[in-house]
Amino acid sequence: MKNNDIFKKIVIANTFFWIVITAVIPNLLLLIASLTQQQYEQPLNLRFSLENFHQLFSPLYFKVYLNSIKISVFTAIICLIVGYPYAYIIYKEDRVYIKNILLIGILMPFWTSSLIRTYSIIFILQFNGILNKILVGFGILQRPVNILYSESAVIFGMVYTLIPLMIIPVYLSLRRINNDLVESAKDLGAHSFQIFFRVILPLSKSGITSGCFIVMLSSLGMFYLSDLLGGSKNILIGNLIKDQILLGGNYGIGAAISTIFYIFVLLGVLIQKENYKINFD
Amino acid sequence: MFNFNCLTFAKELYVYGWFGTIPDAIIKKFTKETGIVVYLSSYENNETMYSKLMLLGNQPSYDIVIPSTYFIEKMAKKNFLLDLDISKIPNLKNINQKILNKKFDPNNRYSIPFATHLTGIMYNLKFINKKIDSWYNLFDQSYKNKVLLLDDVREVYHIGLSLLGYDINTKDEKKVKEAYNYLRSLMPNINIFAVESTKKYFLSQDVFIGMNWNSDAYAAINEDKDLRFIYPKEGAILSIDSFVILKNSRNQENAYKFINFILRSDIAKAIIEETGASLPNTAAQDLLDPLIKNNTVIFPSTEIINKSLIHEDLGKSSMVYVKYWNMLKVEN
Amino acid sequence: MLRILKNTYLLCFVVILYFPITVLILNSFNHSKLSIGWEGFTLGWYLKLFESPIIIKSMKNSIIIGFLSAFFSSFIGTIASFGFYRYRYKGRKIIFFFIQTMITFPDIVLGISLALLFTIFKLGFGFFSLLISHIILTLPFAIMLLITGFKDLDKNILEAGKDLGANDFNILIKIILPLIYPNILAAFLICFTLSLDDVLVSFFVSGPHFEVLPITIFSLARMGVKPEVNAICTLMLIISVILIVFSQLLLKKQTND
Repeated sequence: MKNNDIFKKIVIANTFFWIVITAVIPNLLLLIASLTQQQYEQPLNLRFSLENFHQLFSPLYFKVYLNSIKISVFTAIICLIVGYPYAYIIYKEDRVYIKNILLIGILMPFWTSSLIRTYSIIFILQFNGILNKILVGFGILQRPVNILYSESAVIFGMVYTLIPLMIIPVYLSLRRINNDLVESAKDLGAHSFQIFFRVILPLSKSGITSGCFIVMLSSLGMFYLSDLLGGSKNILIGNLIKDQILLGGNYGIGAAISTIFYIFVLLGVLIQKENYKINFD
Repeated sequence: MFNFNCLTFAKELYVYGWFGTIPDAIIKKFTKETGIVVYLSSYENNETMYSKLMLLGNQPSYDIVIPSTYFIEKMAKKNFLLDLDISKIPNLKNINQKILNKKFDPNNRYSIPFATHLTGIMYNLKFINKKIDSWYNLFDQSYKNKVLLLDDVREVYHIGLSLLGYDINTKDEKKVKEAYNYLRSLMPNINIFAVESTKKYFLSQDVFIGMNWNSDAYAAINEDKDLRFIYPKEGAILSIDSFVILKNSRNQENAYKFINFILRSDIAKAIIEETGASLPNTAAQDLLDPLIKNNTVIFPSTEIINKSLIHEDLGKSSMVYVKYWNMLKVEN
Repeated sequence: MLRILKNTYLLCFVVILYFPITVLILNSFNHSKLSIGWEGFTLGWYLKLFESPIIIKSMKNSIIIGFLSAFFSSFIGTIASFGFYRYRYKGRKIIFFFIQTMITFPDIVLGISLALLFTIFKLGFGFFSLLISHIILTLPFAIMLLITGFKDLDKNILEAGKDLGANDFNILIKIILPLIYPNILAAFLICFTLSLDDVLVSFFVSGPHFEVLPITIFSLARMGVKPEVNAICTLMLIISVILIVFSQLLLKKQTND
């Protein structure tokens, strides 16, 4: 059985190696970089300094955080309100083929490039684009309105791109609801409204929190969205990170922001441990 | 088309510039005549280009880069640039002598001028009937959310500093802060910070007035006759985009061929006609249609050029500008 | 009443979701340069794509990187999931935890951290940096997909294999792989798609000699709505869709067997 032992060692070593490279080393480097001194036009220099974190808590940056968090919270809420019904409808649907169609309907956009989908919105929302033409044509508006290059356009773009990330976790958590609970509620005489609000909604809480978490996290980093749809006017955290590194030429602040980002991710995953449990034997 | 795959790696050229500066047709022509395939990558602004080159370090990267004015000085200081062998660029004789030997590259050791850009004000007659002749016009309250600014820290702060009467190359933080406070009142008017092409915003009518480069303005006016372009009385912003060859370029010979090709009078003429860029190529200008040759958008009068201002390298002080630039953008 | 509400909602939802993409695809065939009014059907923009060396090269690069990174991710992922399935070893839980974090990890942070990695160790930004980055990007997804596939396997298979005297290596190759290959292929296809569509990581780790398509599209998109961009986007969409459909079919097949 010596061969087996060797094989086992190789398999485990391989896993460790890749996970260390994937998850541990880059983030360690980020942490180190965030603690170095800022030098004009020097990507990295190894002198210890807390000035990056110091700058992170300056008023300018706070405005950016607030703005970004505001936008990502709005995005998450709108995704939830608009997306939850879709997940619920798939859950309630009995006919398998319709269920599949609905699932594919939402998976398709999910797997296609979000950059391309963002680009396709530009065209619709332009001042002389299709949406304005329709609104004016149907008499809803007197004159075309500035839709694109605003905060609303950015939020719309984010909802548009990220809504599958809300629907899928919600649907998965709905799917896990023990049908017996629903049946017993019905037996006790509850109306469908009551069943929904008092049984199903609470039981889908984990899906809701998962969805919100993922949507908010993703929206904070997508600088290309605010560039293309926001007219480069809105500085979000993703833009700030990119600009600091590309314009400032120094990794320090970008690394510091990213480190904090990473801590949030770790916390988020820790909080939602039940969602990710896979029972090993 | 597909037989390019058979060509050896010696027949390539990597150019780092702005999309649209060199028309596809011209590049195609170059490839046809020389067999060299050209890969054109684009950068958002000079700062990004510079940082990217810094990050890439000594690793072979682009062959030709097309930076503006003072960035050439910065790149030379960092030893990125190749000392040019002028004998390999005979068509240099076509270039207007007055544009050579500027402060940022004495004796043109590293750079060959490609195009001069002047930043002025563009506006749409359909929506604006007041007289436009100064940066101050952008502050007009009735233009709320209809103004375009270039997404360039130096150019925007130029407006603030010059309206306050200060040196646009000042390193004094107090003055920059004053400009910041002054520019804050402009922010409600701004709809767009344009990164590469401003044309689309004017054409889609998302903006009625704003900063623009003269070449982009020429192209826009061609597509929408209601658009107008003027040079502000405070003085336009002049920048000179030049070709430089990176020191560690792997395709130096191809790079020389390319530069020499662009400097050819017939090629330069075609570029001027297609993009409206102001190429300081006297041989090409002689070949132009009088309508274009005398077009003041592309070729403004000497008076305007003399009054225009060039940006210089600020070294460490640029971080001050970046700080106030971020603060300005967050104002929305 | 509720029915009408439900159907209206679904209709609006699907229309809004698919409208912009449909317009994009239709416009790629539109003869009009400004894409404002329909001016006749044409394949001209697709042909024009082939005249731009950078677009063709980027596309080629994207496909090469996609293929290779998906291949390696699936390979490594299979070995890793086999490890989870077969062995109990110290640190298993922690490794699993890290994999979960990497799935929700924001791409932009990954991009920067990898750029930092390559800068510090002077590894250069080009083909290899991009390949490694994409493997790192897609590996967690491959592992997750494969773990669920392994989970569905009958536990008795392992026992049966051991009884027959096979060592682990043979069990993996001769018994498990044939059962699990749809999952591996599905993981491959999904990793390919992820790699193809990635903007944020590629933005920071790619080099001048090896540009990938999303970056080229992003630069072009900045210049506004252009017909060539419509064409290349449509092509990318079609490729993604085909890959996804295949992967879904493969996953269905595995659960059916």
